[in-house]
Amino acid sequence: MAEQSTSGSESAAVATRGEGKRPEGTDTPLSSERGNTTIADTVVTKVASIAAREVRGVYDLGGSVSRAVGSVTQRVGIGDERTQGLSVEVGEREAAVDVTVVVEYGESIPKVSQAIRENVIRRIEGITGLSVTEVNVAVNDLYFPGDEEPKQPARVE
Amino acid sequence: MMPSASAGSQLALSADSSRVRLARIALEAALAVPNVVAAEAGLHGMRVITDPAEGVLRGVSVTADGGGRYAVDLCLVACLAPLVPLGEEVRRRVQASAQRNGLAGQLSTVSVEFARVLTLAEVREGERLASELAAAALSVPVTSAPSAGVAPAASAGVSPSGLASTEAPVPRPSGEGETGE
Repeated sequence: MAEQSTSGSESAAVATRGEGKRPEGTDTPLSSERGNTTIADTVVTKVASIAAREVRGVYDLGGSVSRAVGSVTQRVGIGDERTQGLSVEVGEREAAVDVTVVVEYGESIPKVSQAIRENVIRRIEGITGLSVTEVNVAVNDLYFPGDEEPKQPARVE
Repeated sequence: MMPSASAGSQLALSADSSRVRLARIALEAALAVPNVVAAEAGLHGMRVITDPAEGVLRGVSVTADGGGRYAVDLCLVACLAPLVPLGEEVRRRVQASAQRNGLAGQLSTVSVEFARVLTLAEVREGERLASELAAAALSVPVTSAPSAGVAPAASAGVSPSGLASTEAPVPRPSGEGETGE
């Protein structure tokens, strides 16, 4: 059960993934003669995660394995749910994002995918100034209301 | 072995070197910018410089750039806000601070790396934890109870009232493991 599609901003149509070198002497918002501004991968990951979760119809990010592992690592305090289901590549001025999502049953997957793509591009470009070359959305699972595991009764009162 | 007088004078000179002064004012200027939460050593802990006067400055490195000028690299943690204008503001303030301190001629480029961003909820959570830890540090009792027959002596870091020193390090807000969103 997977729907995967690729797109990006219009200027990205001919861009090669990972391409980030700028021509000599060209100033960009992130680079000038006075110094560079560098955005770490973790920043792009976090922005993309928040942006993807903002979209209606997205239940969670990550595949079943990464969500299971993520729940364990979060309980022991070494994991961040915002990094699960996301993979980013960040260059000097461009970024590419792969996101795996669980969509709520009943939502249109193409519409949700497109909304994720648009929101991720808008947020990353707005916050980091990086140009997003592509956003690959993989729908890993569907969520049915009531799928949550029932809470175990407390052992003591 | 006691340090020689010349070693002492070298230490005093290095404390006031342009490189260290640039690092100090750059870090102070960057941390004073709204939406900049903290500075950190970054990947592999490279953004660190030793200030003989103040210890280790984390989040900044200053490297010679030729012609007696120095390039400043900052590694910052910021709020979730547009980072390009924030980086420009940091750069502008560092240059203004260098100008005020007579170091503008020795400053070449100011590079800013944003290592992490924090949501508003994470910033508030960090502030809450910091205040709780500060309060806990104030209420820590004196651990070394005086032995019988010996008058209590004022120990370093403990005030006459028995409270621990308030100079306990205040932790930087950390987003790891928090789900404040």
